[in-house]
Amino acid sequence: MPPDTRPPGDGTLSGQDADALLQRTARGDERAFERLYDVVAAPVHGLVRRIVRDPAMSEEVTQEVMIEVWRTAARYDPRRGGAPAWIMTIAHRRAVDRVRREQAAGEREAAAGQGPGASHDPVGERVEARLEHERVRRCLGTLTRLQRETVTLAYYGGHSYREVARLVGAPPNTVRTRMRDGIIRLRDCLGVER
Amino acid sequence: MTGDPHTLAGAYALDAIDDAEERRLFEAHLDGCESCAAELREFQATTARLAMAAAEAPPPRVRERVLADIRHVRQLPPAVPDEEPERGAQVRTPRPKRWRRAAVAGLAAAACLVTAASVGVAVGERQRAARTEAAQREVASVLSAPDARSATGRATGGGTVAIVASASRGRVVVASSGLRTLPSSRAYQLWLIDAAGPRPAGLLPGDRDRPVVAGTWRPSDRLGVTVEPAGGSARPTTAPLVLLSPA
Repeated sequence: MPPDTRPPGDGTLSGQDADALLQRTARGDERAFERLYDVVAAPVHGLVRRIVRDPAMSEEVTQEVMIEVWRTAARYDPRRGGAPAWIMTIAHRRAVDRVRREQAAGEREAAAGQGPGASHDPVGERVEARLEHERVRRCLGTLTRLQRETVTLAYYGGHSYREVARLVGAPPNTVRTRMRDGIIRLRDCLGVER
Repeated sequence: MTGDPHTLAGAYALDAIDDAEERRLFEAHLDGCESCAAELREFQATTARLAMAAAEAPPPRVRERVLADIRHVRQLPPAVPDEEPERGAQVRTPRPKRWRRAAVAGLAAAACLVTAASVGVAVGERQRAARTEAAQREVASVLSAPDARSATGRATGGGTVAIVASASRGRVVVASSGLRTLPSSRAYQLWLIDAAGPRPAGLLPGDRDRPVVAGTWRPSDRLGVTVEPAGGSARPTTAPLVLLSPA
C-alpha cells in the first residue's frame, strides 16, 4: 500500500511524512519533532517493549530513543532507507543495548519466537495500526518456520544471529541465510518499494 | 554461500550482528557494492514494518518528558562530507558515501575494519599517510570485490580476527583486534591452508590495527593464525589460535 495514503498521527508510519518531519527536526523545529513523535512513538515503544519487556525500563528506553532522534536528526541520510527505518534502527540498538546491560546483572528470559501476534491488543488501538499488524502477521505466516523464527527472534527478541543459531539449533551461516530469505519474502509480501 | 557478506544483509537489517567488527566489514562491503546498499535499504524498510506492526503507544508522560528534555539537548550538526558522492559511478569502484565521513571509502573502510572507535577517521588519516598507495588499493579492491567473502572468529586467548577474501582478486584481507601483545621474540603468523597443507602468508604487523593483504587466496583455502618466532616459520609450530573459512 502506498505510504502516503495514511492519515497522519494514526500510529502508523508514512515514510514520506516521517522524512519531511525528520528533516525539519534537523533544523531545530520543535513543532515538527512533536509531530514526528506522535507518528513514530508507538512503533518505537512497541518494538522496545518487545525486546526490553519491563514496562518502566521500556519507557526509559523509548524516551532515550526519541531524544537521540532529536539530537542526531541532522545525521539522517534519506538515501539510507527512509526515516522510519532509521528511527527503528536506533530503537532496536538502544533496546538491545539496554537488555545486554541488564543481562550482566541477571538473566533475562528468552522471549522465543514472539511474533506480532503475541502483542497485547490495547482497546484504543487505531484501525490503521491494526491493519498493519494484520498485514505483517499474515506475511510472517508465508515464511517457512525457520525463516520466521530467525527473523522474529532477532527482531522482536533482540538476539544476535549467533544467539539465534543457538536457540534454534542451526549453524550460524544457515541462520544468516534464512534471515535474508525471510526478509526477502516479507519484503515481497508487504510490497516494500524503494 | 557460507561466509558470503551478501548473506549478512538480512542479519544486518535485523540488527542481529553483535560483533562490531563483522558489522564494519559488512558496511565496508556496502561501500563498494551499490546493489547491496540498495537491497539493504529495502530490507531496512521491511524490518521497520515489523516495528510498526508491534506499535504500542507509550504513556503520555513519556511524551511530556521527551518534549521537556529536548529543550536542554543540543542537536548535532550535519556530517559534512569531504567529497560529494557521484551518482552512477562504477559499481566496483569504492565510492564515498555521505553517511560515511571519510574521504575515500575504500581506505576508510579498511581503517574502520579494525578501529575500535566507530569513527576512525583520524586514525585512518595517519595510517593512510603511512602506507603506500598500492597497498591501500589492494585492500580496497578486495573489500569491494563482487565475490568478497568474509569470516570472523575469536582467537584462543582473546581478540578477534576478521578476513575478507576474494577469489577473483586472489587476495585475502586480514584484520585483527584485541589479540594479546606478544614478547618481541614472537609474532603472529598467517597461514593459508588447503588440502595440500599450510602455506605461510606473512606476519601480522606490529601495528595490528592495520589490515593486511595476505598471500594468494584460493577458494578452497582457510586462514589460520599461529604464534611463531619473530621472523616467522616455514611450517606452523603451534596450534592455530583461530581458523577461518569464508567459502
